[in-house]
Amino acid sequence: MIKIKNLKKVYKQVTVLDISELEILRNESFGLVGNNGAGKTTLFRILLDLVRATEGTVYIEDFDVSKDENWKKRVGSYLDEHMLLSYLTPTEYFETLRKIYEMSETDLDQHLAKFSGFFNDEILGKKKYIRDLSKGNLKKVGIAAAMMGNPQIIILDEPFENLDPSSQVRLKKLIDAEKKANKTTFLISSHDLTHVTEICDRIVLLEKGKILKDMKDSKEKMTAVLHDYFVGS
Amino acid sequence: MFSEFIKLHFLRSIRSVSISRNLLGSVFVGLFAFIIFVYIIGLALSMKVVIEKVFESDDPINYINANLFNLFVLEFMYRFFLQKVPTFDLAGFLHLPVNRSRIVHYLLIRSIFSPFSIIFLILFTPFALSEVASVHGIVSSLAWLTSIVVCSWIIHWLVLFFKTRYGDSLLSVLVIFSIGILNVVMGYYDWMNPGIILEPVFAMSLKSNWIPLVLFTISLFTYYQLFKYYLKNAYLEELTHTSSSTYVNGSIGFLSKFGLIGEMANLEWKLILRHKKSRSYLFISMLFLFYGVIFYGNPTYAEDPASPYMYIFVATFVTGVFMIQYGQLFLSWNSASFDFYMSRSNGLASLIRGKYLLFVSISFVSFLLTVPYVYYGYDILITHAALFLFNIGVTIHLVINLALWKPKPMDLDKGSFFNYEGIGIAQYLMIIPMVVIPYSIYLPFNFMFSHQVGLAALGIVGTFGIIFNEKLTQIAVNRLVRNRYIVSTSFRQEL
Repeated sequence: MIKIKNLKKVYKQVTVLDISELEILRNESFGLVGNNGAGKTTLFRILLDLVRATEGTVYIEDFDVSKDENWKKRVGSYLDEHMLLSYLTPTEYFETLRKIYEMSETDLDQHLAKFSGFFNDEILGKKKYIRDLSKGNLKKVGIAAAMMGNPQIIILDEPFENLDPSSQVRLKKLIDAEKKANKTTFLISSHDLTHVTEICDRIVLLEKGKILKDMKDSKEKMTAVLHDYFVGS
Repeated sequence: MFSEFIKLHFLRSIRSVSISRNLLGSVFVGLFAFIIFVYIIGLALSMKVVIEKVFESDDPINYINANLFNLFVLEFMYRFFLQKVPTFDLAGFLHLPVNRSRIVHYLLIRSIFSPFSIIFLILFTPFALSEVASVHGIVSSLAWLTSIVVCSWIIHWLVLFFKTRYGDSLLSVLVIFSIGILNVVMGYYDWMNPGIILEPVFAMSLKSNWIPLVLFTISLFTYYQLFKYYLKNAYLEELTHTSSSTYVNGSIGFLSKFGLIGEMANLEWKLILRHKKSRSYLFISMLFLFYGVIFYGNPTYAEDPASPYMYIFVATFVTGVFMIQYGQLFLSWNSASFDFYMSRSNGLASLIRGKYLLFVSISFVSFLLTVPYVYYGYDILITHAALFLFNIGVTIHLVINLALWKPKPMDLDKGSFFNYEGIGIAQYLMIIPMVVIPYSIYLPFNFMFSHQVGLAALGIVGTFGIIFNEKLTQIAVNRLVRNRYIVSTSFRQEL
C-alpha cells in the first residue's frame, strides 16, 4: 500500500531522515515511535508530500506521491493545526470538507454521529472559531476531519497528545471500529507507549532518522523492547 | 530587577522576528521615521516664520497657546494608531515570582520612553529658547516648555487607558476620527476654536512658574489611575484581546453555483471578514471607491485636456483596488492553513481559482458601486467599464503572478497600520506594471486614432483575458505547484 525507497531528508547538511526501505501493508496498524527529533513528523510530511524529500521516493498504491495527486482522495491526515482552517467554526469546517469530498449531508451526519461521545458536546453547533478552541478540542476536530470521506489510509501525528483520559480511550475505540469496518490502514506516531502498543500491530522505532527496530511481535514483547529503549533497564 | 527587564527588552527588540525576516520593511519604516524627524526639526527651527507667514499671525506665542489643544488632539490620534499597548509583554512575566505592581510600573514607565514622547520637546525647544525667552525671560520660557511636554505625557497615559479599555475596534477608530474631524470642522468654520480651552493654562505658565508643577501633579495622578487600572486587570484574558472573537456569518450565496471553486471563494470571503488585517484591507478598499471624487469632482482637472490620461490610472484603482490591495499578499493570507490546501487533491489549483473568482466578483461589485460617477460624464463610465474589463482580464493575472514570488507568512490578527508583515520586494514593485501596462496599450491607440479607440483597445484586450482566463490562471497554478515545498516550508516558519 505504501512503499518507501531510499528516502533521505537533509536540512543544512544534517540528515534528519534516512530510510532505505519500508513497506506498509493494507489494513496494517503502523505505529511510529522515537524521541524528539527522531524524524517522525518529517516522515509523515514527506509521505503526504508536504515536504520535498532530498532523495528517494514514496509510493502510495504505486503512485509517486510527489508526481500525482490521486492518492490524496484516499488518504486522510492530521498532523498539526496548519491543516485546519482556523477562521471557521468546526461545523463550517466539516461542511467545507463535505463539499470537497462530495459527500451527502446524511453521510456527514452519520460520520459526525460516530464522534458524538468523543466531541463531548464541545465542538459542534457552537459559534466559536477553530482558532479559539483548546488544544484538545483542536485535535478532536482534526482527527474527525482526517477520518472523513472513507479514506483507506489515515495518518495521525501524536493523536493522544492533549486529550483527556476518557477521550483517549474513546479515540482508541474509534480507531478500532474504523479498522474493523473499513479495513483502514492507520499510521500513528505517539510518545504514549501504552496506547501505541495497544492499537498497533507493527511498531517502528526511529532514532536520528534511521529505523532502529521494526517489530511485528506480540504486544508484550513490543512493550518490553520499547520499555528497554526509552526507560532503560 | 528593572535593569534585568530592560536588558530583556533590548534582546527582544534586536532578535525580533519581524526585523530579521523583513529587513526591507524595517528599512522602509526607518526611512519614513527619518523623514518625519527631519520635517519636525525643520518646523521647529522655522516655527516663528511659519506662524507669521502661513497662519498670518503677528503674535506667534499667543497663536501657539491658542492652538496647542488642537495639536494635542492630533497627538492623541497618532499615538492611538501608532503606539503599542505595553500589555503585549505582560504574558511572559506574570507567572514569575515578581510583584505584579513592579511589573506594571515597569511596563508603563518604559512605554513613555518612546519617540512620540519627545516630538513636542523637539518641536518647541528652539522656539521657547529664542522667541519665548526673549520676551518673557529664560525661566518662564522653560516653564512654558515643560508645561507643553508634561501635557504630552498626560496624553500618553490617556491614550494607553483608552486603547486598553476599548481596544482598536472599528468603533473606537470611528470615535477618534470623529473627534478629530469635529475639531477641524469647528476651527474651519470659525464656530469656536477649541484651543481656547487650554489657552489660559499656557498663557499663565509664562507668568506663574508653578503651573508646570500643577500639570506634573495631574500627570502623576493620571499615571496612578492608569497604574491602578492595569494592576486590577493584569490578567491575561482581560488585557489582551486575543481569545475573544465574535462570530460573523458571511456566505455569498451565488458563489456556491461555482462548485468547489465557489466554495473556496466563499472560504476566502469568510477569512476576510474574520480577521483584523483583512477587514482593514477591505475597509481601505471601500474608502478608495471615493477616490474618484478627488479627480472627477475637481474643476481644475475637469478643464485640463490631459485629464483623460490620468483618469485611466484613477479608474484602475477605483474598479480594482481590492484585488490590487488584497491580492498583493495573495498567498500570505492563507499562510496559517496552507497545509490544508496542500493535502487535498487539486487543493492548490482550487485555492487560486477560488481567489480569482472572488476578485472578479468584488471588482464587479466595485464597478457597479462606482456607476454613479456617470454624474461627471458618460466618458467616465466608459473609462471605468474599459478598465474594469482590463483589470479582471489582465491586471488580475499580473497581481497573482507577481504575488506568487516568494510569499511570506503573516499574522492576520494584527492591525494593518505600519504592519509590513508579508511585504517583500514583489509587493513594492507591483505598482509599476499596474500603472505602466494599461498605458502601454492605451497610449499607442490614443495617438494613432482617438481616446475612445484607446479605451476600446483596453476593453478588448481585457475581454480576451477573460475568455482565456482558464489558461491564464493555469500559469499561476503551475507555478505554485512547482514551488509548493518552498512556499509551505516558509509558511510553517521552519527556516
